[in-house]
Amino acid sequence: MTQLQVEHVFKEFPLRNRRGSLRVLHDINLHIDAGELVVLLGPSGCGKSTLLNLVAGFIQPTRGRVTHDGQAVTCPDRRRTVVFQDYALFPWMTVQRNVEFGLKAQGVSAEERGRIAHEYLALVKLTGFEDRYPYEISGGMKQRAAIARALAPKPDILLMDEPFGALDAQTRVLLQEELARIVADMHCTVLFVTHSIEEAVFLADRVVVLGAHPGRIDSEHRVELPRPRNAGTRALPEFVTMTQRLWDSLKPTWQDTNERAIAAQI
Amino acid sequence: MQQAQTSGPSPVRTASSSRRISTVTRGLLGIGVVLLLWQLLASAKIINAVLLPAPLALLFAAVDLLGDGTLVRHIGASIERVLVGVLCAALVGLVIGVLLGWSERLSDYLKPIVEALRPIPPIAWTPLAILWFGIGNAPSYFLVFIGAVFPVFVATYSAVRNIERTQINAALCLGATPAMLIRDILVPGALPVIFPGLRIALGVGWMCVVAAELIAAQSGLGYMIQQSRVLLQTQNVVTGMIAIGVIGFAMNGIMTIIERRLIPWQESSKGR
Repeated sequence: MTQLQVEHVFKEFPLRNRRGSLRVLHDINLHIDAGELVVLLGPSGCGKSTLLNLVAGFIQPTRGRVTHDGQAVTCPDRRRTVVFQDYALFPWMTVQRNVEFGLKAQGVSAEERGRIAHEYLALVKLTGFEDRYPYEISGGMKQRAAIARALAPKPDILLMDEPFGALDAQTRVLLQEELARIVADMHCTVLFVTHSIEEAVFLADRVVVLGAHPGRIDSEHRVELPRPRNAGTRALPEFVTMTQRLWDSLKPTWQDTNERAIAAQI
Repeated sequence: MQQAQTSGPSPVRTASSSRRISTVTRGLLGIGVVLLLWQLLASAKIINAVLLPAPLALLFAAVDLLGDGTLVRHIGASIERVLVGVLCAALVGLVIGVLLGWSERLSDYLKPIVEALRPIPPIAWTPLAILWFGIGNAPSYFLVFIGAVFPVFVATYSAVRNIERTQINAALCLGATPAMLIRDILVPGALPVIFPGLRIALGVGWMCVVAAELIAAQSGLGYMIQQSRVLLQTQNVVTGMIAIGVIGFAMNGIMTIIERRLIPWQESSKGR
């Protein structure tokens, strides 16, 4: 069943000091079914984060529309929670209070909040760190806390904006595996943004490849790797060939994008 | 990894607290040595007692001034003026800071005025203060206000300007109500920037009140110093100066303690 739909969406940003505007997204059509994990894959500057912000309701499309269960998305809503690349934990709250925030907004009683937060902290393996402030824990732990915070209000869809982009390579791999496990356990619907092909193939049911200038959908690829995905998945020949195939098809356009970016800098 | 994390902070904390004790001891030792040298030079009549009284003479002066209540009265007058002036400055600075931080257009109109007034030293306002308010508490309030309002404004302005958009977005997508957004996100988010501004404002205000009292008041530590100079009671001048220093130091210390209590999530406030 389609849960989230993006129909003919265009997004333009006005240019500063110049007349006219910059088209960031061009005629985007996308649907996400319940229980599906869709990865938006694209080079930097292709507008994938903009698309995620539109789906979250942080910004509005210039044309077209985004609907969630048939209703137009006009503002952020706790049915679509977001995990950000820079964690965006509230530094003045302990890990526990961060996780409780969405529940508090719903008016859940303090006792019940505590119980639920413990449950989700256990899910992301942060038991014992409830009373730490964000500055006292590592980047990987911060992102685990942020995932628990986003899951606790039981959203319909979890939006993840390059969530592992700021982490070191090993932590990144570990968290990908954790996320695959959590998603399998909880049957979440997820929209995941990344520029890592391996990450996309490892996590996705479906990879949507975005091209740049302006951002548009280039191609879609269904990933038929078995679930649950775990450390062994990366060793499967299907994983290797799929990653290789995606890279081969993307390389020319990404190279082009890079050269354009360099040219723009000069 | 978990064990290392949980057992980590305690040894770090003891190490830093033992270092703090020795830092305090060293500081006291430094003061002690300087006072001793000073006293020796004075006793040997190398320093003229009228130009710079010896530490012991200062101690007797302080005891006298404390005994007859003079010092306490002047300190009380000065502190009262600082508190009134800084409080007004905090209110005005916060309001203007929030308004100009929030509205780009208002900032375009008013920021140049504020920035042009800011470099004028508060003391330069003294003649106007006397013209406008005469002699007494009012010009002191005013000069403290002038000195303290800019640090509060600058801190508030940059706090509002630098609110993290993603944190607001995070709160909104978690369903935060407007009340929660203000109470749980905006206020605690701005506090670490605004509070140091308040601390600086209090420090500047304390300097301003003394300057104001030198000229435009008939009580307070500044007035006491000025009167004592006229009467050539140098020991009272220096005692007053020391009182100013000690009270300023204490005020800063109190503000720092409040800051740590109020903002326990700041890495720097624990590392210090």
